[in-house]
Amino acid sequence: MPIVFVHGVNTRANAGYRAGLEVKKALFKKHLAGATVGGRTFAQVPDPVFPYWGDLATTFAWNMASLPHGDMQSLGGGGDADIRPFLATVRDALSDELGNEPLIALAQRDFGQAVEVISSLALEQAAENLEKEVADFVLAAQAYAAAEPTPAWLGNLTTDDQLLGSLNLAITQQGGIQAQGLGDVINAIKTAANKLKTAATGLVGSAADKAGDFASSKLLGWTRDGLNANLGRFFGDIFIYFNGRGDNTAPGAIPQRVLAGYDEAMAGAAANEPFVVVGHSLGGVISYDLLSHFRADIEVDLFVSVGSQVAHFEEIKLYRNSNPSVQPPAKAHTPDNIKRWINVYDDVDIFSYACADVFDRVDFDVRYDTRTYLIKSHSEYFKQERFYERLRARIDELP
Amino acid sequence: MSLYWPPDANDIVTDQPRLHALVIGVGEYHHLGLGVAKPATFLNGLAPLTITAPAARRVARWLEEDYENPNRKLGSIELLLSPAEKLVRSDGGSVDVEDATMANIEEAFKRWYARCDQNTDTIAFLYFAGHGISTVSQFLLPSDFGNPDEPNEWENCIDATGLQAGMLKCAADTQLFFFDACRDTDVSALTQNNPQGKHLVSSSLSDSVDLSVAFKAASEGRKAYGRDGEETFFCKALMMCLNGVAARKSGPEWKVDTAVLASAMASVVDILGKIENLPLSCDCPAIKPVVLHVPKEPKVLVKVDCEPDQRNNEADIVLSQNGASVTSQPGETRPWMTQLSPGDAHLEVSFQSFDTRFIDDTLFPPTYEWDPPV
Repeated sequence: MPIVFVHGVNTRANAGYRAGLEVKKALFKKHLAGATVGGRTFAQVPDPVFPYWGDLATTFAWNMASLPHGDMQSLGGGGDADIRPFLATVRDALSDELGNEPLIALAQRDFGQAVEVISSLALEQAAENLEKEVADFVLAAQAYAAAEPTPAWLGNLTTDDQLLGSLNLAITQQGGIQAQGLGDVINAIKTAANKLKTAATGLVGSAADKAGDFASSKLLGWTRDGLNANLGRFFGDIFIYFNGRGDNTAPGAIPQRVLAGYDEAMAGAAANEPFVVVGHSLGGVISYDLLSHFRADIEVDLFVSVGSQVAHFEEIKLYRNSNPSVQPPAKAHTPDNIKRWINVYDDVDIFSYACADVFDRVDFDVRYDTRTYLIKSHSEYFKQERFYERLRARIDELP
Repeated sequence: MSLYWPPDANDIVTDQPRLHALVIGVGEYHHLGLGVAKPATFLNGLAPLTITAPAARRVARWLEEDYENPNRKLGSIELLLSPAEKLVRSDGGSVDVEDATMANIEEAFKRWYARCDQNTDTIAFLYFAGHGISTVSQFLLPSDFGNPDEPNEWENCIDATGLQAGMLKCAADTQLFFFDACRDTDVSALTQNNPQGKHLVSSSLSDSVDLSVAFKAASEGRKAYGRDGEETFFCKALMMCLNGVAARKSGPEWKVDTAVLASAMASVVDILGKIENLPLSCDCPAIKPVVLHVPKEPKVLVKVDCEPDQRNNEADIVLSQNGASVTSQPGETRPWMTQLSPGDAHLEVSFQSFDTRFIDDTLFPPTYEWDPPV
């Protein structure tokens, strides 16, 4: 098991997390199988290791009562705060006003993007005991959309319900067993889509739905609740990590948990397979800290930081091995045990940072467009199959 | 036309006890599925089915060729299928079977009801295979369900629960309904303000019959299944049961009555679920026994299953009875099922890596399950 995936902030072991794990496992296997890094090849890619440290992360004594809640009523729109960023993504993608059937409107403009929104909605709203089925749906839907970017059946549909039913049919109408009805997974996804539709009904015609710059700022304000919460958890998890990480003589709880994952992955690797560490968001920061100080003896053939703040915290000199005397025009030295490094960021992901101007050796410092809204983008990379395709393409270009 | 048997409507007997059947199999839907010209605005994610028309055909054939009840002979079979097709009866005559649209079902129902209403000792037999959903009632979907041109999108829908209740008005004192459809609930249906279906017949509180029972292909909230191109699993179980697995000794004869049929269906569907590794279920309530069919011979459905998987894969199974043997080689489908006659039998399983196991036992319908001990 030569791949370790270290999750980032705001990760809690719920149904959505478990469904997301299934998607990651499947897509890492699919797209990294046979990849070669530094002359060492994945013979096949078994399940990656996913050390979970979310239970050690932030809790809020008053349940984030300190966060201000903006006046949402004046902008109209109901629905969960978690749903609004999805709707904002859809609204951002449409040149016309929203209408009451947001998903079909998006799908008829960009079917692939609509499938990514549906996938993300399905994963984040996943019901207990349906994690595997939701993951299967997400994988099949994205594969279908890649193969059929403009399906013929899309043209005469007019409702979100028709879209979801037809999409489910398109990806399940194979195989030997037929059911004389619909299923639990599509019910769960339709329930989530209904929340989206309810939110859309409130947003239609409002200030946030009008075209132009005014609408963008109003849209941001409409989604502010979710942004507040995400920022709160982001900072909270960072403080928890840096405050309690310890050092290489006495590692704290989170380093111990993640390092156990490294050891498990290395123990499971075949002799000539590469060892790869993938860190999302704070997971990249933690991994850099561990590899540069706590376990500088570990040789990593490839370090992949995604939507991460590695360079940002080096600028603040927060790592155990950060050297305050290293200042521009010099750059911080990329640890020798990190043999290769791919860093990925999205301009819209406010939690993601570039690395090449801070570190002296970053093989690829690249943009990836999650095609989502401001608050959604940070959590979207690993839900999108095209991200894995691009990652594999970069791996194949490594020296 | 929808009259499948007898060839001539003038030959239909109604003044004597008979079994009159209405059999419907819906596989093709005009407004559901991918790429239809006028998609239903909800539930359009229901797929065309290749299992329900074969199931209905199978039931109609069984009634025509195998049904045997000296006291209630076969009276008639109304048959509707979607897609419509031409069938050849066992007498060589051909029938243009009509599409199972709501309008055609309503007309066929009226003819069937009129026959059933002539004699209290008649058995009213209704079999429907197709898509179904449940909210407060179980709804069965004809081939033209969900027509978006209709202001009422439930216009072409059957309320199975209401239909069974309405049939209490009918003179036939024994009424058997086979609803071979899913009973899960779709969110789209739940969010409808007034889901509804046609009962096709109404009754009052003063109406009652001796036996009214619905055999359902799934438990509440569950789905029914079938293998692409074959009859539904519910239909397969029903055929096994009617052909002898549900037989009970009644004096010198073996007979299938409605009570044993109900319990046998549950056992057989359970075994099929284990064989197919699917969450099969059925809802066949225990009821008073009314003789339905006299099978040619009684049968016992035997299932052999070994733990762990390695034993199952190595299992070389031999079942011996009355000097004859039935075998299953290692590597064949496991669990394994076959049918034997009631009575004494020798069952033996040998393995490459484990000790041989055997049992001598007496088999009784409906089922015999043997898990050889490790």
